[in-house]
Amino acid sequence: MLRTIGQRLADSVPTLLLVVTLVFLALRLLPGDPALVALGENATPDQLDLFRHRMGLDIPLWRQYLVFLKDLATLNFGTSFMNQIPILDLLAASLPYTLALTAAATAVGVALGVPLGVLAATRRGRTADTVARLLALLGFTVPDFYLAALLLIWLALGWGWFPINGLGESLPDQLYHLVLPAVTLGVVKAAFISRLTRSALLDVLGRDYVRTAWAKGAQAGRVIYRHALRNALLPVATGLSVSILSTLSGSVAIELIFGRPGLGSLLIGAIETRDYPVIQADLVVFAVLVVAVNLAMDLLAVAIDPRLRT
Amino acid sequence: MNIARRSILGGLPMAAAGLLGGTARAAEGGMSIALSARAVGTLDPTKTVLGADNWACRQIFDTLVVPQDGTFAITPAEFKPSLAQSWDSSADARTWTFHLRQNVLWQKDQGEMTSEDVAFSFGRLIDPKVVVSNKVLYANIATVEAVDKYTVRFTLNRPDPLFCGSSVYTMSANIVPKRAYTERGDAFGQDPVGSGAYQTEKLELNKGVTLRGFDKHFAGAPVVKQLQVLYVLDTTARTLAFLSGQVDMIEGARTPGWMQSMQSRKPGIKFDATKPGSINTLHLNLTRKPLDDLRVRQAIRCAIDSQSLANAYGAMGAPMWGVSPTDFAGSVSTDSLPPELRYPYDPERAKKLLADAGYPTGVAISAFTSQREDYSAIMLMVQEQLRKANINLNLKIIDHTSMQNDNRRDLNSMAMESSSYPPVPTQALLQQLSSGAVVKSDSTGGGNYSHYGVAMPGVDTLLEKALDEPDFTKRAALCQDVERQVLRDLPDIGLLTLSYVIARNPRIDVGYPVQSGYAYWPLRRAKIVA
Amino acid sequence: MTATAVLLRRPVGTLAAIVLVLLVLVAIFAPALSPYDPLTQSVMQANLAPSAAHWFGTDQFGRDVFSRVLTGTRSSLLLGTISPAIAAIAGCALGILGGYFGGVTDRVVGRAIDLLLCFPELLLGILVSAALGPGFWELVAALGLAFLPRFARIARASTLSVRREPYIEASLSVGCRHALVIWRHVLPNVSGPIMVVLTLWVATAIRLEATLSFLGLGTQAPAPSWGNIIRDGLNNLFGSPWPIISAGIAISVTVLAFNLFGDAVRDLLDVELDE
Repeated sequence: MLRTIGQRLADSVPTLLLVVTLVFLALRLLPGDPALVALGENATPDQLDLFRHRMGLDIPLWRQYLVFLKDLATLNFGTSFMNQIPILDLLAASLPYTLALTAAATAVGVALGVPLGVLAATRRGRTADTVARLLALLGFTVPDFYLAALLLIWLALGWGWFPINGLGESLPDQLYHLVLPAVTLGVVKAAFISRLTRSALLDVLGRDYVRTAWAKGAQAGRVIYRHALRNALLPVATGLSVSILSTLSGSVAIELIFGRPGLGSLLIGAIETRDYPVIQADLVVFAVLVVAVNLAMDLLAVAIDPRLRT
Repeated sequence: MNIARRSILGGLPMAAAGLLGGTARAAEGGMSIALSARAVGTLDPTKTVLGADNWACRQIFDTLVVPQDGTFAITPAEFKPSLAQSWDSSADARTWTFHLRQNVLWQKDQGEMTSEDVAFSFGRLIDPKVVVSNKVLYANIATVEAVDKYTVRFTLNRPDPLFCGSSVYTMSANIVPKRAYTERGDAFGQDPVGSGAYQTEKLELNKGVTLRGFDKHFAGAPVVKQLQVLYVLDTTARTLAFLSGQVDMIEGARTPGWMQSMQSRKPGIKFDATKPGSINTLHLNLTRKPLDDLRVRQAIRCAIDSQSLANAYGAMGAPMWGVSPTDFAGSVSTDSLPPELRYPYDPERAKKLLADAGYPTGVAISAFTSQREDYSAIMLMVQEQLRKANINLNLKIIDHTSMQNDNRRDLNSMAMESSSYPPVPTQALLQQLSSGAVVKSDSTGGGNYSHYGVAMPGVDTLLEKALDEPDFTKRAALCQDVERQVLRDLPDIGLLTLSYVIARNPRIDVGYPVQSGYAYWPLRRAKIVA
Repeated sequence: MTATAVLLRRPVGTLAAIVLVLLVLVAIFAPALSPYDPLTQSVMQANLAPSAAHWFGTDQFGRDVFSRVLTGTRSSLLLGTISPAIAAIAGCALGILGGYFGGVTDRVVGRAIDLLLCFPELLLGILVSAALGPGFWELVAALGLAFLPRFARIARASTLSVRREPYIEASLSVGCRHALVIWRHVLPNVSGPIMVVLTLWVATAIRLEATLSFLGLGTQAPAPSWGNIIRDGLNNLFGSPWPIISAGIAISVTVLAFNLFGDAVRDLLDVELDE
């Protein structure tokens, strides 16, 4: 087992390296001058040069790249161009919120999506199936930020049930602030998960051993939960990992509307100000998360289906 | 016309959750203001470039002199004492002596403010090896010295009768404590020490700053003990938080109709607006066809209806005639101008001018601008107005940083510029119209995007004269000559001024009327009245 | 199966197809259908409620929202179809190349796919549009690149399964050139699943356009797209809610139609997808 993990991790190193190199190059293609952003439009040329020198932007690109690789290898993330705040502090102020939102949204998505999918699959072709599928489609058709705005206007501003934005102070308060954004993302996720569950379950329900179980007269509920669902979990888990990854990076619009910090927000802000070290660090963290999530899903797959163990 | 709108949004029990109900979360502690920014940049006043950071810095720090709260000091006589109790200048307006207030204390037990701190603060601003924002504002200072514990003397390179406005009352010139600043280094931006009415209690990068009243402030402790400066980038998020009563004040959106729609939504909302606010002008690149032809530039001027641009913004907007706002000394207003320089809105005359210039079917011009809400909205309206005069503006809207970058590389034909200047007559002219600030393709130039003074004779001589003039009234008159010359040559067109607006819950009383000034003001005198 | 039979057996899919045809017609004839120029502003007419003159009211610039939504159909549909189509073509080429020739080619293709799959679509969209600058074709490129690996993976998998078929070896042994074999045998097998995935990604592309426009990286003003109508509309919510309502419904209807149509095509072709 440990060897498998080690192998996977080793495999991901070249991909990671490629990712960071691509990112490094892409950033330098971006038009825009970090010095001008940091110092404002009235900055004098001397001041701009001085700033570029301090930030190491005046050395040739290949040397900047080497410095970047060296820093990366020694896990030295450096400081932001804009305010010299250590990037680790910036990440610490963003990552937990992203993780919390992703976890909460995934929980909502699974809690809604899996039962909906099971319902649709077991009542295939009947009204329940149609309704479940339509609900899922509806969740899929509304852009998440649009749904967020609607929920905010009605539930938070109109009825005053939820806070408009912010993070909250105490833990219960923080969770309370998390509800609306998590539900927004969760509903969209539920649509995807229920579709996935339905098709995976239908696939399994058609297999011989399930048919045998039916024929033996086992109770419907037992068949579904003991045999079918367990086997259907695998594709659902794979789909879930894709969904988790897209929430980790793709909840920027939601973060914006709810005024929440996060990795996505940090990234967009850093792109706007051409804060290269922050963008690089943000994407490296993201790439590590990708590897981690994929690894976790592989392990989960082995746990579900021991035959996958090699 | 409001009926259908009500049926959608008006059915909401908003008043219950709302503005005047006093159920506000903010009521628990003190007051709060939400500004348009993603995250705290730095609270080092010499390094901020973010409007939201400026707000916090204004509360934490003090300058030597201040204008009366809620105004800009237009003339030298209008400045009031702050950290300096009195000041005087030599007859040639080149030597300025400030006598400091005694027993002014630094926050966080950092001792007393003395001339050493002042000399240190200004010393950094004029040291070429130190990076600070808006360095150009201090270029005229030759030396600064601490004469005794409570006296500081400045010598200037050139006379400046409005030294208090052009250098002393500016953001970077907030006085910082020498010892704390040196000890903290880069960390000063996250743990600032000032002498102002509020000190930092908690700083959360992504959320904002919690300020607590500094009881030992020389003018007395502020009335409201706690002030939260929140950073909320999205306009919708800010507006909803305000309407729900979650925050007391929000930065307004610089989009057409915003103020009007807020007013119709909740008549009780108070608006604090600076006049003139941002100064929006349009640079015409004199090195590019067809803009090198004066008749084409005149056609553009005639095709732009400044009044209707201003109207779109309701009370936030005001039309501009020259390139300085009419509220400032040294500006020109339409009735003081000779008829040929008034350029009333007249698309038909614009077409005729184009025909005279050899473009009977009109012209096409490519330009780009920023997607920032004020830039894009103004340029979209300008584009539409020009279209009516057969001037086809191919407008590309790009992100703000790219626009800054590409403008600096002389890639734009028509660069709109939104800037905020204090009422110092020469400043905008020097930075946007003098040959010394001409834009260069290697981006080592300045903000003169029209090439005025290089592509054609400009106003350099007049400007030099103004800068050597120690008498303020005469200086302002010279600047009016510059304005008239600019209107004759039209390298730069005044579009409109746009107020910086804060929407305020009526439960807060700022303590004075906000009339003009920078896009931030002190909240030391604010009270909670409901 | 005759056409009528198809219609009767799949009423939902048929309805979706009809909606799609209507949408395409709207996109093509948008200028003729629009009562006003979608760009013409009128400060005096800003933020009007719906009326006989302006069916969906006007926005903060006094532009007719109905005309803007109609015109927005063009950019949304164009972008929604072109970017997945480009991704499908390029992805197929890559996937088939890898799957057919195997060896080093396959390993390179596989690595490239893995690399791109590291980035969820939105993140890649953000990065590419940031690098290229906002704009319609920039967005097409961004989304095209984001979708590419998903098509490549499917094409590669289908190619691998076909490659093992004995008739491929047979064709090659009688002297058929690779290009011909790919054209005759591989492509037809790959195109089924790709078509199905294509319709589904069209829906995603339209949603992503809206999200990227919301973040300021999508279609740029003054050209209307549903995404930027919502973006501008949200900031002007209390001026007039109609822009976001109408553009929101337009997005939902279109995405729904593409989805249902995609489902119908999948059932019709009986394609198994492990997406």
